[in-house]
Amino acid sequence: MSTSATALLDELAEDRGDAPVAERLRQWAAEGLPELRRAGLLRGAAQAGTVVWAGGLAWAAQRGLDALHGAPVSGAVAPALVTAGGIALRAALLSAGEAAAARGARTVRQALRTRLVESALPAGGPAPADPDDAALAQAVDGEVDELSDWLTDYLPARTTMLLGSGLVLAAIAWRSWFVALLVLAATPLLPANLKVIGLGTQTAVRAQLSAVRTHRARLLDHLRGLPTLVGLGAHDEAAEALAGYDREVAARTEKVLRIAFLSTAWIELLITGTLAVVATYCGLVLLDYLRLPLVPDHMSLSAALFVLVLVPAYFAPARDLAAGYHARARANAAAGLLAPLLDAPRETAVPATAPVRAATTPFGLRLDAVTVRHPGRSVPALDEVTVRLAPGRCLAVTGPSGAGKSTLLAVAAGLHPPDGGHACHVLDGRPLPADPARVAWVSQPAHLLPGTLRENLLLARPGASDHELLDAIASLGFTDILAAVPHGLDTPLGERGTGLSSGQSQQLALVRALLRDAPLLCLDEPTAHLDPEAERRVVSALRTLTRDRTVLLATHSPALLALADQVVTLDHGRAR
Amino acid sequence: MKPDNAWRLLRTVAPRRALATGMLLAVAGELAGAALLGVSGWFLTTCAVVTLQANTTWSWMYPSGAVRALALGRTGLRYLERLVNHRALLSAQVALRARLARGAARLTPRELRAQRDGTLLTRLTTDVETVAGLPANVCAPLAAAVTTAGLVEILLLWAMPLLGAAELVVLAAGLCCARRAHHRARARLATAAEARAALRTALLGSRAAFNELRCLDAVPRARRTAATAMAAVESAEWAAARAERRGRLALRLLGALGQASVLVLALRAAPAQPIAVAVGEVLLVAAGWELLERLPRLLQQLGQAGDAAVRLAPLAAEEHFTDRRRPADRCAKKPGRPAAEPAALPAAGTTDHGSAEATGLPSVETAALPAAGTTDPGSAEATGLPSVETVGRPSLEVAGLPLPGSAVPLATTLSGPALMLITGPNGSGKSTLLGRLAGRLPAPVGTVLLDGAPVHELSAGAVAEAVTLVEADDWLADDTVAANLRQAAPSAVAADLRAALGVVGLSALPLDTAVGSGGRRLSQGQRRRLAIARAVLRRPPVLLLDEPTAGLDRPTAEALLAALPRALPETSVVLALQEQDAGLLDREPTTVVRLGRDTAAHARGADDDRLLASR
Repeated sequence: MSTSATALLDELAEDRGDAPVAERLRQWAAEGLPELRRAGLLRGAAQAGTVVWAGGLAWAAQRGLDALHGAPVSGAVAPALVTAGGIALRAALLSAGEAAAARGARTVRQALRTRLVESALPAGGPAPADPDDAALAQAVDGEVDELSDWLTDYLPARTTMLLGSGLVLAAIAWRSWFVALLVLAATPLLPANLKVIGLGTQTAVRAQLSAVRTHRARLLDHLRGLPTLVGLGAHDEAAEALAGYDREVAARTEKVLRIAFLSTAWIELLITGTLAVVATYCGLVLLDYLRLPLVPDHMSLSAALFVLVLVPAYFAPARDLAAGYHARARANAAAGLLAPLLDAPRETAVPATAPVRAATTPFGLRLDAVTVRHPGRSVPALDEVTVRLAPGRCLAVTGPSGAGKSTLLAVAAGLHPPDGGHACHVLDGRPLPADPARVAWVSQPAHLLPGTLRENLLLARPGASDHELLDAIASLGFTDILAAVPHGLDTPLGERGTGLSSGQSQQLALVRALLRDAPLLCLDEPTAHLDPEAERRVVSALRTLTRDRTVLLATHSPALLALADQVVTLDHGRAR
Repeated sequence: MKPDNAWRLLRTVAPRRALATGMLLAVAGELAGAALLGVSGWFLTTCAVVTLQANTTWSWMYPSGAVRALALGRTGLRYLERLVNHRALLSAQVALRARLARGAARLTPRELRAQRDGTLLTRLTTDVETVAGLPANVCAPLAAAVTTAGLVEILLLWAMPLLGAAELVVLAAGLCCARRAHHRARARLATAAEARAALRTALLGSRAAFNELRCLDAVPRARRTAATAMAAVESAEWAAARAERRGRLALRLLGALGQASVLVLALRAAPAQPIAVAVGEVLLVAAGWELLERLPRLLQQLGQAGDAAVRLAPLAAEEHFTDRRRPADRCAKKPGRPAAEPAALPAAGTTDHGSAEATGLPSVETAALPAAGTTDPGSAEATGLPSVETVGRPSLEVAGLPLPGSAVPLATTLSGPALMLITGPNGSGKSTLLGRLAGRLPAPVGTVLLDGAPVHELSAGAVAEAVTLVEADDWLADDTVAANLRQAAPSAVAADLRAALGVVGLSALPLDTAVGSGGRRLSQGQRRRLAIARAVLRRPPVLLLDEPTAGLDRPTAEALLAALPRALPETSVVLALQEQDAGLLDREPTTVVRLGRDTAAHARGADDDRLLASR
């Protein structure tokens, strides 16, 4: 318990640091706020139903008591109807409130998910380096949902409490001002303690959430590597390490829960305790045993029962708010993890440049002292590399593996902003910042999206006819691909191009790049997966294409080097 | 039916005692809560009646003490219950996940590859949490609600049969209602779960292809795909929530009916039943109905757990491999075995030369390798006598393995130092052949034997002892270079690791370099060579390399191919190379397999390649 206490103190000391996160959460919630506010009001109003129910119950009991005097008992139906009516009113209002809250939360979640996807797949600007895929999937799938309880429970809870508890308190005061005073006196004990305990939870929750996220990243990595790990006979060790980490995360979670449950227990104690006190007081008054100055010493049974059953109802919204505090702690922790994903690559609203067709003049390429450092590596991937390429020329980048060829291509394509220096496309002597919209790219290994073969090709030129597609395939001499797949252009490709061999994927990527018809062609080892015959065909196709295009080519192949007008040899990130 | 599965799965990872304790505590806690309200109402009414009747013998001390005790008891019981149940939840989660990870290793590679990234991750996280969450989130509250309602009902039946019967009818109607709402919500939730998996897949796939998508201007399309998936998730979940909400509304309305009927009946029976008891009963019934309001949500969670358990079933199958053949201890089995080998082997070996020349089709040439006479497949098997060196050394025997586009099947034995070259054009099935040799893809029955047993039927662990395959784009852990190497040799010291890096020409790569997710921080050539270095550390009897030189410049590739046999003098190395890369070899391979390319063979190769290329 001592570590939790320390964490709690730490958190209290840094209380103010929380404000920006809370502020951000509110901004995110703004879109769903009207619905959420309506939900709060409806739920608060539902307490009126509870008051009616209590009134009916007390009325019935009073009738029963009167019957002992000899009054006729026939009058039980009217109070019973009032009771049932109260419950029905409450049910209807609660149901409407839940619907409103769900609507509001849905609006907010959708807006957040859309923003997450937009920043993970920016339409303009640099490619996002981090977060990794597991973190992103986790954010979209898990962390946004972490906000749901906060949205549906916490945000409307304050309105619910003010309206609902106010209604109930007024009703209690109407029958017994002393009991109203009693419950009012117990009220200040609630928020102060909730705040303290809620904050303690938050530190632990944040630690737990980031541990869970790291753990999921490990799990995904482990699963991807399962065949390899099994093949290496290393699976048991890896699984054991995972299980060990899992246990650690579980231990941390348990610590969080211990604190969280403590605060719930405190609320419960307060509610049941107040109920016991009120019951005892009312009992003593009814027995006529209580003779204290200022304290009312007379009360009817109906008043006593009425206030008794309303005591839990008075505290119920506060209890929901307490649950909401934990939801808030969870939401804050999730917000802390979501915020960097949403904010980091704030795309500089680059208007989507329409692909420049081959008809326009090709442009030149200018890289001035470009330096790129990959995070976690001391040696720069590119070290002050300067490259000039005239329009319509072909530059081959060669050099030993790991020399930085792929990075150079990415910088030239505008996919990777350089850490130092400038990367420009030169159009009619005017330097423009490098923009991937003017580039057709073939990477290694090739990537294909889920969808049919045709859809994958149409990505490059939407609206192209089958005829054009077949032409493009034929122009590279890859017609045999279509014969090899079961349904030709309609062949469905699975996640990451499953259904094709890696060589076939590479060939399709080439066809796609050629269809794209962009003025700069970036080819990263385009023939790495092709046999000599296919390579010959690609080379001849490239020979035609380079006539009106600027080409950047990373290769080892002598056949391709022969195509180049210029050759840059890279070694350890430096041009030789 | 389905919740049964979840329960059975849970039972294997959570001790019965923990589950029972949690449920007992929950029941006790809720009973205390209901009793607190009922006893309080009875107490107040009795006080009023006692005063009215001027009864001086009645003592208020005990009932009011009971009220206080119930108040404290409820708080304590609830806290304890939460602790116990969540501890059970967490330990069940850890145990379940460990079991599934073990189970996943037992899947055959084909089954494993059939599970996509997104799906597998969901299984091991969300699904496990759902099943492990049963005790805390479903079992305890369900037991508490049902037991409390049941006990209240029994009390009513005992106190006043007519009242009990009336309440029983309303209760039954309520349960029916909850059930119907539940079934409606379940259908929606199944859709939602599918939509979620689709969303993950869409997102991860687009991220993987981001560079190309950006250049193709196809990012908006990828976003739209994701947005459609998101909308599908939300609308399915909305429909489920609506069904649940309606179920709760119906239950609450029935609760109104139940309470009103109890009120009327109990008060009418006034002379027979004291008014105080009637009030207590009504309050107990109110408490019972409040608990039953949770039913729709609990049923929904139970259904989700059942679904999750069904999805987890293939991973959780404990006895997956016990009925399969396990290789007997290699040393014990070896000496007596070769006599039982199929006699077809030597014959297949001798037909090679003629057919290769005559047909011009894919061919198998067997060249003599100096200093490796014992490994010649023909002579070793023809005599039927194991040579001294092969005793205790695993052998990978290939008999009659059909080759794509060839009438002549492959027949050879890999044991001891040898160099086999598999070459052929792109898409001719090189990767498929390697996958079959490594037992990752099923070969026609019995054509690839590891120490006499069909290799694809052996457990992956048994194959790993003898054969190591490095795939074209092999996986690297998101960790340091050293950690990746240590997967192959957990106890290796830094010097061993550096030596292995030296073999593949990566001496300059510091051991503590982080390789990034999927090895993305390394270049392709570095990734490939790191995977090979890892395999070298295994010192496997048979090493299969798929295009080890792709992405390497010529000097690096030549150095790598020359260094491998030197570093692994006892190993049979099988190389799949592009035809034009065969010239990189500095010596004559023992065996050369040329794969042809006719359309039929191509299609078949592509079909099987999907399994290898899916990462």
